[in-house]
Amino acid sequence: MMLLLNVLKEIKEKKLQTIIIILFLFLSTGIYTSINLALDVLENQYYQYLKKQNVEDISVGFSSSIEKTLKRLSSQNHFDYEVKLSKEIKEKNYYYKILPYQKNIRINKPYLLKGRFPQHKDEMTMLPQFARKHGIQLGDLYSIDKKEYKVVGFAYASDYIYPLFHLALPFYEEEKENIIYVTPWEYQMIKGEEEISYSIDYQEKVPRAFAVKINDKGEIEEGEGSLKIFSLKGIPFTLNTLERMTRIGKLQLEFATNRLLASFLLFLLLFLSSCFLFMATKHQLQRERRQIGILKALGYSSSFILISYFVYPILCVGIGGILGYYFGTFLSPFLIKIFVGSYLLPLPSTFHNLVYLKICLFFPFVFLSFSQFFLTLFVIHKKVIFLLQPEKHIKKTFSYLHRFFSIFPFSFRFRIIFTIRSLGKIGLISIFSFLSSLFIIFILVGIDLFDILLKQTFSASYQNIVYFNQIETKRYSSRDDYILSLDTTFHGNTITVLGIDVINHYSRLKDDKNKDITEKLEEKNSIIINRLIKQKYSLKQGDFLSLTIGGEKKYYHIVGITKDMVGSYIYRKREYVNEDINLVGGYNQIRTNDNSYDRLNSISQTYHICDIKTNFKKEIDRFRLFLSFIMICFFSLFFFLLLFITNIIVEENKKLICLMKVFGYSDKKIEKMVLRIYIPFLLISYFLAIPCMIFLIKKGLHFLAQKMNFSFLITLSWQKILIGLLLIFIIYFSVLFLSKKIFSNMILLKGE
Amino acid sequence: MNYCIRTTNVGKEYLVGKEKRKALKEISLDFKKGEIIVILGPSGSGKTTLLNVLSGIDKVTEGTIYYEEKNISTFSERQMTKFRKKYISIIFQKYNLLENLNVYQNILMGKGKEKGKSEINEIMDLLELKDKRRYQIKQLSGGEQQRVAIARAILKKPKVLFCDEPTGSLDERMGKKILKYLVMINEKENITIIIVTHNPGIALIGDKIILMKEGTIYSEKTTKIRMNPEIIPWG
Ligand SMILES: Nc1ncnc2c1ncn2[C@@H]1O[C@H](COP(=O)(O)OP(=O)(O)OP(=O)(O)O)[C@@H](O)[C@H]1O
Ligand SMILES: [Mg+2]
Repeated sequence: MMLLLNVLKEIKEKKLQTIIIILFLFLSTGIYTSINLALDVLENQYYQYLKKQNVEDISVGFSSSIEKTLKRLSSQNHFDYEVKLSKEIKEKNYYYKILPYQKNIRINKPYLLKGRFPQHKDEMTMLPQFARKHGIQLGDLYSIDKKEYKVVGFAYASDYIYPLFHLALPFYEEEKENIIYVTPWEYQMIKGEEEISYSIDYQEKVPRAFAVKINDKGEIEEGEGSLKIFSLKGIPFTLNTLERMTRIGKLQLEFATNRLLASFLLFLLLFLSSCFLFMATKHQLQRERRQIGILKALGYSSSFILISYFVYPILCVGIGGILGYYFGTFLSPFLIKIFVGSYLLPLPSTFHNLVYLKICLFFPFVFLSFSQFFLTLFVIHKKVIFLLQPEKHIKKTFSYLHRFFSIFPFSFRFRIIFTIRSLGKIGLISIFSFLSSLFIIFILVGIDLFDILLKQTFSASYQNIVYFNQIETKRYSSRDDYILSLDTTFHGNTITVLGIDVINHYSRLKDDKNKDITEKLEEKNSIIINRLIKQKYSLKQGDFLSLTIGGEKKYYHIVGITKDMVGSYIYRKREYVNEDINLVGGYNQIRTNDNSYDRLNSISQTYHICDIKTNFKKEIDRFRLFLSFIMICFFSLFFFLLLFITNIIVEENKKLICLMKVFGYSDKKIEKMVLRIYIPFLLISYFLAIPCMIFLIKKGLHFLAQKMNFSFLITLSWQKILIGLLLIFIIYFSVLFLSKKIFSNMILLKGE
Repeated sequence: MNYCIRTTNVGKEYLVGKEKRKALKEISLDFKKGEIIVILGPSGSGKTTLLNVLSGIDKVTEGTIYYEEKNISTFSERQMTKFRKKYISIIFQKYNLLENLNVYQNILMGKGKEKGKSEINEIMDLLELKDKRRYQIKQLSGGEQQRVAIARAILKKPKVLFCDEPTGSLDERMGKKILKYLVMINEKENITIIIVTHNPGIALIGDKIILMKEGTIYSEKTTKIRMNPEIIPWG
């Protein structure tokens, strides 16, 4: 009983340390619970939604031969299928998916959130997100395709859980993208690009498997669940499947990654808090060895004393874990909102899950007890007489050092000795500041990485790229650029050969120094490659490349390298590419500022650069926000760690500091001698971190360049390096400021 | 005879640097149950060391120590702790109080359980600690701390009580009062008491006086009668 009181008093003595440990436990368990709980709720909701709305398992593009196979297979009761129609129109920067609504839809049933579905002509439903952004209420009129409709309801299309309209606009923008249901009759009247496909529902005969593997060629790999079975039935599937699968299955990917993140954070923070506890206990035991000695002399058994030391982790874990759990539970609805944010999934109601409370208490307890247990054990088994005697402070090696350094002035000598004595803490501070520095550099580089990418890639002065279904020869206007694009393979990967005219408006090729190198293509066998290809295959100017363009393998001479970094492109004069495939004047793309091409029948798609750009920009902003959030978290971690360590340093050297004060040293001088010894180590770790991180980023990006089709330019100006350094020092000095307050309040030691 | 503690050829060596130093040499003693033994000797003669060894806080390097039939020199740390809890109380020269606890709580620690409130009050009354019961240890004077240490040790009513300079920081009046109390509990509870002191006057209250010098027993004599602590010469 009294022993417990003794330990509780001890906790009161080291309030700050306890608070920091509890804070870390609180954060780790809070984050863990909130993310997992949110994901549980969402996952549950997601699968129920898929089931209730009978969302398709797979979809295939329309063709009359497929129709026959499908009919045969469905009559054999393999699956159910339904024809799906949709039209897409673009008006004033808005994208609309128009879907016909029928009562008896079996697969991909629409989900009504409010109001009702369209029953008469001139009626429609739309996405509530779009309506909110534009201030549209039920009963309002909204016009598309020059016709006014009455908004009678808000509804989701259940196969658009992630509203991906094109692969070119990968990120959902609420105010721009809208999904509209109208009556079938109205649907027929609306003009737009129509897509016809079959939605197939296995009716749970086959497990759902959205997880799609994409190989290096950008094709879906077979052998995954339903896909495999489907292909065995002799039905080819097209790549529109990828788009559709993303719409339905993307959320699943987030479940896995976020769960991983939550566990990672939990264990990282737990590891840190047990490190803290380790330090705190180690220090506490040094102070308390006498106490333990006294207790043993009084006849208290070791195990009894040991148990009393578990009060500390139990208390920390109890407070931190329970608060963390409830905080997490409280936070999870907000997280759900954020997660659902870019998905069209009805918001679920939240719940508790006491399993997480158990996890929140169990893991932290295991972590903390572990560090506490070993340290206490280490001290408690020493002999009583040894514990009762004051610790011999200066070890023998140190006394030699004392002698060696005696030629230096006192304060310097003191600092050296002090540094050597607290090597463990210095190591810890160095490691942590190294990690933080790595992180700072990563953020400093990353914060405008994508901006550079965007600027370099979309610097073009044209607005649209028009893609044709086949190679055309008819020229429309001399103001546009005509381009012949052919795919070929190189080292097993697909690369695109772009045939361009040397005299052009929008397709000038520029090198690193912004010099126009387009004219170099005049030479018969010359090609220009872009930076990504250069990096991917380690090529350089002057190399010869063997390629097969149009059936015949030939060697081409690399005469230049452009600065663009997205996609694997090889440029060649269009005339020569045409010759390779025995054509004259052929093209299949037009780069233009003209919007009138959209009406042509022969085009397959138009990319609006401006839209793509804003679409990316939005995501980049979100990424930046995320980075800053992470940065703040990490800095507060760093701050608390430093505060914790300096607090322990001050505590451990309480006697020394008091003695120095008695001898008339000013607080500032003491701070300089005791706490500022870490500055050189901080500097060293920071400047060590710069090359390390740049190396890591380069390696990572190289890897990315091989996996994905873009590459980055890494820049780190000296201004940024200074900013990073400043950040670290601001944290360090604010910690010093706080610590100084602690020891200037210290009363001079009384009595013994 | 009814022996309580019996030692044969006890020796204790310390390592100072690389040199071995004998703090105790060939100590052979017999203490009877219920005796008051006073150990006298100049500073550094090994009194505290002997006490530590006898009370099992430290281990001997030579010889054996028997408590009744138990050879405690072969005890493990754990056995010794258990044994101490049952039989022994120690008043330390350096008090060894728990700084986190207040006066009352420190005294309670001696017993291990919260029982017999009246006993504690009685002891605190006697040691004039009553109005200091909520004081922190740091707020006490040296003499007051010593009194807390004494209170803690005698609250337990041990079989053997070791006192290392129990009156070192006390004035004559208080010192004599405590000695009187020790004699009283010795008579009432038949507690064996071993007192280490500089003060030759205190020797007069004991049944046996042991004089130490440079780690050996210089002389050992038994007194015929105990003197009343109130009339012994002080200092
Ligand atoms: N842990 C130790 N290591 C080395 N030598 C020790 C140790 N403890 C005691 N000694 C030595 O043993 C000798 C006896 O010490 P002890 O403390 O028993 O003396 P004492 O008679 O109690 O003296 P005092 O009256 O001053 O308390 C001293 O010379 C001391 O230096
Ligand atoms: Mg002594």
